[in-house]
Amino acid sequence: MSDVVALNLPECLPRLWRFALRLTRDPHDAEDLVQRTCLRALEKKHLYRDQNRLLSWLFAIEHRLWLSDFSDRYRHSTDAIDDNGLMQSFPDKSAGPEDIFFYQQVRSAVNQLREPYRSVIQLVAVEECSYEECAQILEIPIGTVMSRLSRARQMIGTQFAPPTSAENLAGDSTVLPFNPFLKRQVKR
Amino acid sequence: MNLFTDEVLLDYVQQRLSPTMSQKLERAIQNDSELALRVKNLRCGELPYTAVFAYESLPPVPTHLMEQVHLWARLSMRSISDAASARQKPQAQFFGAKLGAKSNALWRAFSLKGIRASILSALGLSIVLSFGMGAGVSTWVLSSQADDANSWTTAVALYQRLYQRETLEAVNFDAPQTHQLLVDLQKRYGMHLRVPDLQSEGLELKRVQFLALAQKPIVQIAYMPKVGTPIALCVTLSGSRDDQAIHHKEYAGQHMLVWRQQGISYLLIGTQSEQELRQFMPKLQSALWS
Repeated sequence: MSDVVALNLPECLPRLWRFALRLTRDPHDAEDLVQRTCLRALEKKHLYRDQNRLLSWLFAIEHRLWLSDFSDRYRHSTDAIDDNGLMQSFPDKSAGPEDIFFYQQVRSAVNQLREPYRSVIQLVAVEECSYEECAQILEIPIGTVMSRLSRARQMIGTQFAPPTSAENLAGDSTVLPFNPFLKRQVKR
Repeated sequence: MNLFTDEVLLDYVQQRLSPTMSQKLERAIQNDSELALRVKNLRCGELPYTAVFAYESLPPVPTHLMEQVHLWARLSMRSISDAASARQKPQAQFFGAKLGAKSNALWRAFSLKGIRASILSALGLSIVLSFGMGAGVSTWVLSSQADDANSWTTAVALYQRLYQRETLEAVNFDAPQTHQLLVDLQKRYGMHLRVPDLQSEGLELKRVQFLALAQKPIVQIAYMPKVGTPIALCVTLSGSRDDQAIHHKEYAGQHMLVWRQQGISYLLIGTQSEQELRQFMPKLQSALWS
């Protein structure tokens, strides 16, 4: 079983890299985190038991290392979580400006979440892990995963909610994020 | 106790709540503006996250990181097979068994004692080399402070045996980086090194890099032959000023031509036979000393 880890580790590398980038928002830290994750996985490979869940096992190691070794430097600063910086370096020009704006708004909203909520959103909504897998990776009960996911979506939802009629009547001039997703829903 | 927890609201929005509970919740929403707001925000937070993040254009996995992980994985698997064959054939594989055990021990030492972190930060991209050298190099450092030719060539052989064609296939020769490395080499160690061009011998120059060896540099110049596994010329400072003629050694499946000239030790290494390696020597020596 332990050889399964060494044999399949390179194949998991793109997902580990992506998850690390999204945790750290910094390619240098992401690289360091992935290196540590791979070394830790190889030195602990005798502890790997579940043949079909290697990626979850690796994500768990990566997340644990992120919490223990990296997250302190980001905890008090949202500046480090700079979505634009990462995007500007690697632009994708395949989408229209409305979509780009909306996507940036959503990513920004996710990145501004506090760590417990951000990780749950990343794993469930982005990496498409099941609640059970997410619970294993974060080492928390499934109920807590659901609770955090719900709270995270509520927090994000406040930024994407359409104005109530009362707010409109009161002349609320707050600029709401443009949400083509909602626009499309309305059109349908 | 709050009946409508965040979990329940999530189930409701995702239409997984039982009809009975859903009706209770909908009745409660009529009379509880705060609850209504929570549900509204939750609905508004149901966004196409997968699509949004799939669109995000992230940098690709760095090539050197991929190489590192492949190398570590291979080394990890090899240390197990070394140990297994040592258990099966204790007499015939005595030397191999010793190496296997050392390899495991040094793997653990490397992994557990924080060495990796310092190497990672100190050497950056050359981590592949420092780790690859780990087993042999550490043995050398511990066992002898002298310029023991057997030790450094053994260390290089243990590293070189990890090289397959795919190790270098994706590597493109980086001339500016090589120039900088040669400048550093001269500045730090007073070693003036020419990088031999062996294209006419069918060897494509792929990479020039430092291998970490205590306080001494080993420079590895890696070539890709038209067929077979990569060949490397390794160079290090020698503790002896005496010249030494070319002689052949074999270790860990690697053939080596070793010699010493003007205080510098040279090693040409590959899985190719001694005769094949010797064919490169005239051109190599002329390129080094012309």
